[in-house]
Amino acid sequence: MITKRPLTYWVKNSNMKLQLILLVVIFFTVAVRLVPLEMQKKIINQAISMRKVDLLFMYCGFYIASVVSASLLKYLITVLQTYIGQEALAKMRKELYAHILTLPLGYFRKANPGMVVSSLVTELAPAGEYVGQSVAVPVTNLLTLIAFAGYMFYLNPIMAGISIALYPFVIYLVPKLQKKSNKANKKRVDTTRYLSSHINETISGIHEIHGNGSYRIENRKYGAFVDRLFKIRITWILYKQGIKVLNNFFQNLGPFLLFIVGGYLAIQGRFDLGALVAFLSAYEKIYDPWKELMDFYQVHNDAGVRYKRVMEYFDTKPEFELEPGDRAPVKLKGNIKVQNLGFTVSGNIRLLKQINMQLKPGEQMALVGFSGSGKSTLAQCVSQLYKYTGGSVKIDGYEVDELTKADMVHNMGIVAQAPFIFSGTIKDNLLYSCAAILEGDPEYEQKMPNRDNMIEAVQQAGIFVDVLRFGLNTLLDPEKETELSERLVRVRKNFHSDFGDRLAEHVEFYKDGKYLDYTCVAGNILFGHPNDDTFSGRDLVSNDYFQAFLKNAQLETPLLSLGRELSKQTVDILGNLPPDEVFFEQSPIPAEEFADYRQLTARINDTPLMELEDKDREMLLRLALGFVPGVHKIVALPSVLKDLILDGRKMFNSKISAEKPEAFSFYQMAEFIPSQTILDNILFGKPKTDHPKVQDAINQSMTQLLIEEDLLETVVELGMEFQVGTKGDKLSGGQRQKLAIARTFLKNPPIMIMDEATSALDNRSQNRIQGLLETKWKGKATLISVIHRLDTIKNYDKVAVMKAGKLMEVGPYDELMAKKGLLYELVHGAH
Amino acid sequence: MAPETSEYQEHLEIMREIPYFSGLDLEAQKLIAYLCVREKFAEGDEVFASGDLDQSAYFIMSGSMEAYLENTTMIQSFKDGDFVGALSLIGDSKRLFTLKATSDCICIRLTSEKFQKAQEQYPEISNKFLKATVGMISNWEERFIANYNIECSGCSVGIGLTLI
Repeated sequence: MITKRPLTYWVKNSNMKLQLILLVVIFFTVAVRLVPLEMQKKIINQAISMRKVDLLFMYCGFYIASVVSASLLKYLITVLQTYIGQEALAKMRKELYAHILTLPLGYFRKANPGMVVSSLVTELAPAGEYVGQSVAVPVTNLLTLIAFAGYMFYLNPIMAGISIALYPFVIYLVPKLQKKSNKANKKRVDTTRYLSSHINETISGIHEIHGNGSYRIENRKYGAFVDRLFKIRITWILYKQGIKVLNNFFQNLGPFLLFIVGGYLAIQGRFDLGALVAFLSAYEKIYDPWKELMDFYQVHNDAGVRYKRVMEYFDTKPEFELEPGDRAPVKLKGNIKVQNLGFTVSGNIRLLKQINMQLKPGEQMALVGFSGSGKSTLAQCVSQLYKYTGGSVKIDGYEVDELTKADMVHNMGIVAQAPFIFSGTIKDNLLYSCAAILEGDPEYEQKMPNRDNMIEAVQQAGIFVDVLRFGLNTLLDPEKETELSERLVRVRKNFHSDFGDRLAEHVEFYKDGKYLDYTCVAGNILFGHPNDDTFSGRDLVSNDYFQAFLKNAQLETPLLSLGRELSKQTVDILGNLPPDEVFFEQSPIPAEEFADYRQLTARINDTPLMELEDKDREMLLRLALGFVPGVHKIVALPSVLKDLILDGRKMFNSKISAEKPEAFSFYQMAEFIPSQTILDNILFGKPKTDHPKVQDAINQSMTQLLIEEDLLETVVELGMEFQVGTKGDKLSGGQRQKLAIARTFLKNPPIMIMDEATSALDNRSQNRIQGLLETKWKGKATLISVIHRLDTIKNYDKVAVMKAGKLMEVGPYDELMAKKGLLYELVHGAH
Repeated sequence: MAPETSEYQEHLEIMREIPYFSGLDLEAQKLIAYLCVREKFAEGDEVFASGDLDQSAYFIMSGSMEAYLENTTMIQSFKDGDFVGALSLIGDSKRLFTLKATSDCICIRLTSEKFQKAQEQYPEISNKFLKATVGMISNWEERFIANYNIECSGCSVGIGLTLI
């Protein structure tokens, strides 16, 4: 298991080939590093003192060559060690993630998601760095140290001895100072924490301070903390700097000794000048590897501690094997037998006690009881989400405990209480279960459900209309979809003749001469579709032609003012809220641009509109042009401005028709509008409300019209490509639940576990799904359905009633009701 | 150009009058006011039907509504300024009554989904909303007891709501 591996494992298992290359490079580097020293000596002794220019050039040539190659080699070492380290880090991250995903569910109830994130993202990084350095740094620097020291001894053993003699002092003194500095640092951290909590307290009690006018008292209290911190910080910095100074001092003391001893020896003629210079260089250079070793020691400690903490945090065994290994996953029929099942969690709490029950293949059982009675837990033990602690659960004679995850998922579909929808399209989520079991299958393509299967599942789960709606809300590329866009124009005509009057109240039709409240300001001015890209979308505002037009039509200033008001109000309301879909649905500022507008609002606070910078003007104009008064209710659009815009529309129309007739196609009943969604194209307008009843009416009309044109599947298929957002936050709770049901229906497993799968659905959807389970799956799939509301359980083969972790009664609904036991009490409400 | 009053500003004014929200901090009120949407109902329209899981609360700005049991028996009537369905914001029970517009109505609708998002952002909402709700229920029962006819034999079935 990954969590048992020591940090050295990753060093041993890092890229050995690269490590070897690295070692070779290091040997070369160290050798090359010695060349300049020897050259220095030769330049002084042979070239300069003998006054030989040719020798000087030659030695200097060697010198520069060795310096250049030493730098290049050093770079090569860094590249290699970075590669090795990052490769090890990537491996660590992947393997740890794979391990975390297999940890038991119980683990995650206690685990802090922030810790999981920081472990994988930040905490492991030093470990990777360490693996990269673990060979390169110590070897390079030790070798360099030895080489330099060796060279110094080779030049003159006495002087070498003298210069190295200083190091023991450093080795002795530095750690002592370091310890003191660490102690002071700890004090600093503690005091800072007190200080923060004190500030926190003061700020939350600010009204009391204002009320009492106790400014002086509070300043005094705060001052005391600051003074304490002042003293501690001084001590800490003194120690910290002291270490540096000490290091420096010894470093500088070296040359002094060398000069005094070496100089004396040189004067005596026992030591040549070149050697002295080489010695000085060697002495200075010995400091670098020394420092790097010290740093490495710190990385080693830091990485070791963090790595250990991360691994300890995740040091839990997975409860089940993932793959069966030597055999194919078993095929189950769904004969479930539960005997004396018990489930005890830490703290000796018995969630399930002595449960016995049995289901034949294809039988359906409803599990009911008060919340907390253990019905979900029982379903989760049967479906291997929890590892039960006593008794047995057998499916077709196999003990669930001993089956692997692969065995279970091939035979079971689970709809969880709060099903999770991952970011991606509706289709991705619909195929999620199927894709998981077909992963790696050579016949993946053939076995995956096709379009008709998906549409069927979507219909069964009752999310068809929603997907249709998503499809209707997509944009078409008319150049690729000429035929489709022509057919949609036909649908539009039918819509207007069949439903136009009936829905007139809830749809705002595109009509010249009328301000459109559900279309953006830009749309109201242009009232057409640009064929020229410089007029479309975000580019419109930077288009010179359009800008000139806005000025001419006297629209620029009022729009700037509108933009500023929008920005101010939106920032005021949504100031610190997370970018959640719900909050930004009605916001004129899209979530991804919110931070920019927040800054803008702060920046232009008091600036008169006339003095704004061009960049800011563009941002405000863009906001104003995207403003849809019917949706963005934060700011009201003054009626004066509406009239101005309508005048502008006329002006723009005649101007562009005269000057650039090909740049725009104005909205016309007989033409497809590419910049509008399919729905808006069919309506030739925009729906005014998203109230479910109105939506229903629109959806019904759409379904009918699309069927007439044989386009229903096509549009639904487009809807399957809808991006559901992170955690599916663009879907409602009901839609998420239906999607999860559809996903399981599509998988069509022999065993289904539904844990309050329809709790977020209305009566109609709930009854339809219930009906399907009874007609389509009864006798085909064994079903355990945890049910909170009791109005749908009558037709189950069995009803099991739980109370306080015990199965109180099991049997057909009528039998239990006749018995007037616990079920009777539940249904008729003892409370 | 002086901006005209926006729907949001009108909503904010109203929030400050609804007992469930009036005690909240201004920031929380702003968010809720922002999340509300305007809804129109024509005379005779069903706002919700018994068994629905529409999870919305309505504030009636103008017009009137009536709640029915089994679509026939009128239980209670509502007029402008009334707030209907606060409980559906925090629970997930089905509607037990049918609510119909008896004249053309303009309402403000708040869905429980949005309300819960607001709760996550401003946790104080939960506490204050719950307190206000309990207060409303207690008041209800107090009034019920005050009007309670001790002679009436069948009436005692409906009493004791605050004992739950």
